Amino acid sequence: MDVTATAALRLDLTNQGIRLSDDLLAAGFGLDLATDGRSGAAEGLDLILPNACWANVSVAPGYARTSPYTLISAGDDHSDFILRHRTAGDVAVRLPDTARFRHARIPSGISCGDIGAIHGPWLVTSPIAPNASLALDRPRRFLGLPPQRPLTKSRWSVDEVVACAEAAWIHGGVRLIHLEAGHLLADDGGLAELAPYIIALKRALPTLISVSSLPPTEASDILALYAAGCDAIAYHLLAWDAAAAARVAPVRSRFVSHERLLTGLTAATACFPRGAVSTDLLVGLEPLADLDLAINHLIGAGIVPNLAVFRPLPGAEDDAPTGDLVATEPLLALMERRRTRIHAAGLWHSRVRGFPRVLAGVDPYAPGLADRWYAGTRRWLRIDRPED
Amino acid sequence: MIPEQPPDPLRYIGGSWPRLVISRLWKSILTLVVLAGVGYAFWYSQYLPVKGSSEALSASGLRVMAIFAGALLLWLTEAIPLIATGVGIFAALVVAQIPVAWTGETVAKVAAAAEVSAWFGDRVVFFLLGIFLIAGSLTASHVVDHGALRLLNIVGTSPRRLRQGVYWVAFVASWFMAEHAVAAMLFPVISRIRDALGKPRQSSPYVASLFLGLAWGCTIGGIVTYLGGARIALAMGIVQKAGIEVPGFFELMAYSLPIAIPFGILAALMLEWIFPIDVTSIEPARLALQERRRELGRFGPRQRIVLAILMLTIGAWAYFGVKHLAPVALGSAALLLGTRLVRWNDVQIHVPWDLLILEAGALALCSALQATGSAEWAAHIFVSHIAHNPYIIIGVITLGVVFLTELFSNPAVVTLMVPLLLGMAPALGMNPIHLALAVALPCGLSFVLPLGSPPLAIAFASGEYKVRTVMGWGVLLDLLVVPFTLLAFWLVWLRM
Repeated sequence: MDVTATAALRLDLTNQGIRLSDDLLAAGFGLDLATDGRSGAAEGLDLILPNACWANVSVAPGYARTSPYTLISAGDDHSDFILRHRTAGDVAVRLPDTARFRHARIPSGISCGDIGAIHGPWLVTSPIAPNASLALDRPRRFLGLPPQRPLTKSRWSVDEVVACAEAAWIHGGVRLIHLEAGHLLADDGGLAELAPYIIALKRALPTLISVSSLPPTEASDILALYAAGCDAIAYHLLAWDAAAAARVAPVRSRFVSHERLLTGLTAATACFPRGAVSTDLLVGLEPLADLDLAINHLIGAGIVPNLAVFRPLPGAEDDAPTGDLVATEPLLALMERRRTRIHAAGLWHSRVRGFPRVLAGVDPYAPGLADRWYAGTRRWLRIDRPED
Repeated sequence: MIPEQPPDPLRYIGGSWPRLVISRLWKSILTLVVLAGVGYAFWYSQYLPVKGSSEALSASGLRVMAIFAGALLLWLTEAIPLIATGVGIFAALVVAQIPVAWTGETVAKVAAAAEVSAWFGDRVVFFLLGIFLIAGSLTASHVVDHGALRLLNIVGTSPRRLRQGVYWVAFVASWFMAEHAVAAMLFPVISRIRDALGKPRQSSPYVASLFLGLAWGCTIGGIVTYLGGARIALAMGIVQKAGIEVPGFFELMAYSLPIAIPFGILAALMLEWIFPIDVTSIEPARLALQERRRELGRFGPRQRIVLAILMLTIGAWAYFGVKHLAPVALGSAALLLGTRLVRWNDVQIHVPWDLLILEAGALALCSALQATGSAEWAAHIFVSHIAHNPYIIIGVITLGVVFLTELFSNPAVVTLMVPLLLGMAPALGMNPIHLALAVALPCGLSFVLPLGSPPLAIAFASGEYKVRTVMGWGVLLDLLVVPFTLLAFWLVWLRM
């Protein structure tokens, strides 16, 4: 592995995970970040690789036990780090400084770190967590469901989420917000509950918003979500093969069929901008050749397929990955083919891209004024509101 | 006031970007084009003579014509709210005084700013305000509701009588109340009858005919008096502004009834021909009417006094003549409001303030057209290109108005046509009142598209019929407006 090639390094790290050196483990460093799943985002350790490339890497010992990578401290104050490959050498990396954001408190006294997590230009949060008793599938973020949180509060209020986003905007340079939500028992997948958050966030900040949720049964709910201010939508198939997806998400598959997911994705492409509809496919659940065909099919339908690695939930370090570990080189080739096809299909122009938790998104993208203006203008022109 | 309807769903507009931009931003584009056109005319006016004639437009005349054309375009298309165009005229007429600085020359003044203000405060505007306040008071006090329901209860003893009852009640009620207010008032009643009859949506020609009868009745009845809609008052306001005596309340009815009565009878017969009766009993409908009457309560002392004041007002209009239309209307409104027979908050929501400002702007423009000689110039241009047979002129005007009113707002059509025709009247050798009425009366008679008149839009909102279902009959009625107007012109107007 060439550790100086950032894209390959990022993919390999995300794929294989990373082991913490003994001194870091002894200091307890990073474990709070890596295992604190309350915000629904911090399921791994964020690293800043060369070329300002962000990667979210699992540090769960069970997952990363075979990883050739070890993170070691370059100084006593844990300010500089070295990523050491067993054979390929060292590369200097940084950990993002989001402490000020995480410890900042919103007016109601809650820490911002409890509400959301920053990943580069992204704030990831999960404001609603209904029907937690159905939360049997793991990890929930792939299912379009909000994570379980060991908190007494089942949801954050609109004001709390907005205050957290404002803090992230000021302290963390966040320009994109990702909301995770889902309601297995609701026909609209919980989208109606999410709309007030989107509207309030858009009113407070000139941000772009993506949503990961369950697909509604009515296409009009998707249009309503776009009209409310959602700029990108993701319904996660997990696998192209319905049976493979059901194996890793048995509960969800009982409530939300594979067909409903595909129908929802297709319906979303009818109103969302090109490239703004995406789905996560987990690597290792089915042969790479099948994944290749799935990528082809999805891109042909105007859907961006993101590849992601199935990782265990925080606190379940001894769990082995559900999927088979795939070698990085063929995965890298697949990623390159995927990139070429997305370019050819004109799906690369999405104003909401570069989510760091999937294998795609190596470009250090943050939307500018023109992106926000385009997104707002497109919504204004394309949506005919009765009050207009 | 249009009855509440379930909100329309969001709609995604597909298609290419150029098409999308044009379809969504045409109003903004049109407004910019209008502003650019007016700006260009202002600039070009430096090359025109300061003093014009009937054959040559003056510099100030060009500026006023440009404002007039721009305002009409904005009114017709409603690219910006009517009230914005109305107040924009004020600003434009004041800006028109600015000399062309870069040439060092000045153009002739249109008028001083104070004079423009006076044009806006014309007595016709106050007459309209009085009319709107009286009509709003009648709506707010439910006087007409009571009468309409009582009448329906008496005549509606069979399906056919009920249908004709709805039609004729709407027809007569629109003499005393704005036609759209009558339609809005009776719409819930007809809806309740529809629910009581238990017919699935769009399955019953009879139910469809009840809603269409309501719309047709209001539309035809609305041309009879000044109270039926703003169009006639707008037209007569422009006529009065030109120094011509306008018909009084009953005199106007003498002009309008020769069209409204025979046309109304024809439309009533067409309802019977077109829509078969597919209900056997209307007992549930009668129960629904009684339920609505119970909701309204009894016709109490308050309603009786309001009715008496209305009668007194009509009598005063007849006694004092047309010169005192505005004082009588405002006095009546002051009496209704001052005695707290009706509450201001209940009345003012029925006053179309934008139309009032539109009228003020239109009158100011008419004054400016006359002051600068533009009207004379435009009339000269038009007169030299059309035939001078009065029947052909009335026929062409009526046909044009009927066509325009299907697509554009009625007040805008009146504002477009009447000032031009008044300027042409002497050259044509015709009575200006006849020309103005040939615009104002057919202007309300549109029967095809829901946007043609508010009652049609309200009836269409019931979802009981589709436009294409009644399009053929609507077009026939539209075309029949022309011979009926010509007959009234020949048999009645010319003899008055």
